[in-house]
Amino acid sequence: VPPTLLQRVADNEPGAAEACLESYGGLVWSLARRFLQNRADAEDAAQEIFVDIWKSAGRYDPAVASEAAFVAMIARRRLIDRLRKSGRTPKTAELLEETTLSQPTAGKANGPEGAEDLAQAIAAMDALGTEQSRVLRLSLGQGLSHQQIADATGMPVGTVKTHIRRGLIQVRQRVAQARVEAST
Amino acid sequence: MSERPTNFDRELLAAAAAGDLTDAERAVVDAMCAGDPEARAELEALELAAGAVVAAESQMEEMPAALRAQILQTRRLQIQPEQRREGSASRPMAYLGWLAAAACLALAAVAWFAGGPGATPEQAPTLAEQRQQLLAEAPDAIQLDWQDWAAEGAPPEIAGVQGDVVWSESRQEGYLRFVGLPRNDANEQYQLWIIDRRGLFDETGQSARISGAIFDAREGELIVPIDPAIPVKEAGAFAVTIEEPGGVWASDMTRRVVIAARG
Repeated sequence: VPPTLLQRVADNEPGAAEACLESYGGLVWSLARRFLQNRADAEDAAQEIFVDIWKSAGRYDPAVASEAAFVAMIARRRLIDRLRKSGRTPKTAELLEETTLSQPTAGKANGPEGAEDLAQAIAAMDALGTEQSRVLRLSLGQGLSHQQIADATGMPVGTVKTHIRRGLIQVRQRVAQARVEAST
Repeated sequence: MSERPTNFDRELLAAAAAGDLTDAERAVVDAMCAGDPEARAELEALELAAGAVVAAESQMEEMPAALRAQILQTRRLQIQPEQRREGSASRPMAYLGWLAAAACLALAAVAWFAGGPGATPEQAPTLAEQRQQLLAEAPDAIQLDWQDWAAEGAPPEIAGVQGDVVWSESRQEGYLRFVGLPRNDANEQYQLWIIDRRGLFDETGQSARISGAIFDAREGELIVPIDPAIPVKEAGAFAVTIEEPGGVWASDMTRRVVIAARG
């Protein structure tokens, strides 16, 4: 089995970092831009995220997740941490409106890895109710707080919380189940 | 699929993975994960599921070229010290590298004894030699001494650092030399900023300072190669700050170390 891109990065293989940036730079940058209002903060965060990716590349296990999911996990961890430390800055009404109206582009899996878990994640999102999937997307992909989502959707905060928590558990179960079935 | 009973609160872990916990909830999650490997694994599985969703559904925006260059430069600077540092090799490939190096040394010794000093394989020049070579060969090479650097009215964070900057614009090559630069803590690194004709900010208000090196200090004389993220045009000053590990894209320049400027 040829080494994955992240395994090549962990081995300091020449050209691997460039290839990794080529494959996942857009994903990391897009997330940073959506989570952080300020462009300079997004640039800073993207750099920090890739330092984390270089450091964590050796821990990547292709049996557990796709590279894109692993990279996105690291990116979200760093961005959530930034939001928490800075005190979550409410987005402008204009940006919130844009966020609320944004539609997912299903199937745009990123990176060269086989992306079965991404396909399962999409299927799991599709299986959720419209309201629940919308709330989950605003939380996971935009970094909006419960209150911000409640303001944008008109739902009670408690409903928002429940939609996010239970929705993510359902996605996780579907992705994990698909992994188990694929390995047997 | 029936779920196995667990001792942890899966919904709270899902909230943690989604990234919107109160401080009190975060304390509970931290305690839960500290004492229970299964809870830790479940949290990571939820984070990976969240990652899968955003990776699958994100609308991509291309990363700016200058930022890509900066990230790759950080990577190069991160790898170089790791490859040079003795005793830090823990990966099998690195171990093999040291074995290969030892074999080369043995071969060099055999060659030296067999054919005299002239048979010794050619060594790559050290950074000190490369710096001297640049000074000797580049007609436009400049040499600027470090000076203490502090915010107005405040004492310098680090005082008395000696050394200089050697820089050739035509070759886009240069070296920093420090004597007395204190060893940095593990949670921070030194970062070089080059201010060229573009000044501190560009016409859009974005930071125009060029990151030129991210490095660790140690006792004794230290020489660091300059590796600018983008081409430098008429360098006017070189400044060193303390930043977080891996450096930053745009420094607020609050932790100032030394500066060397054209007169």
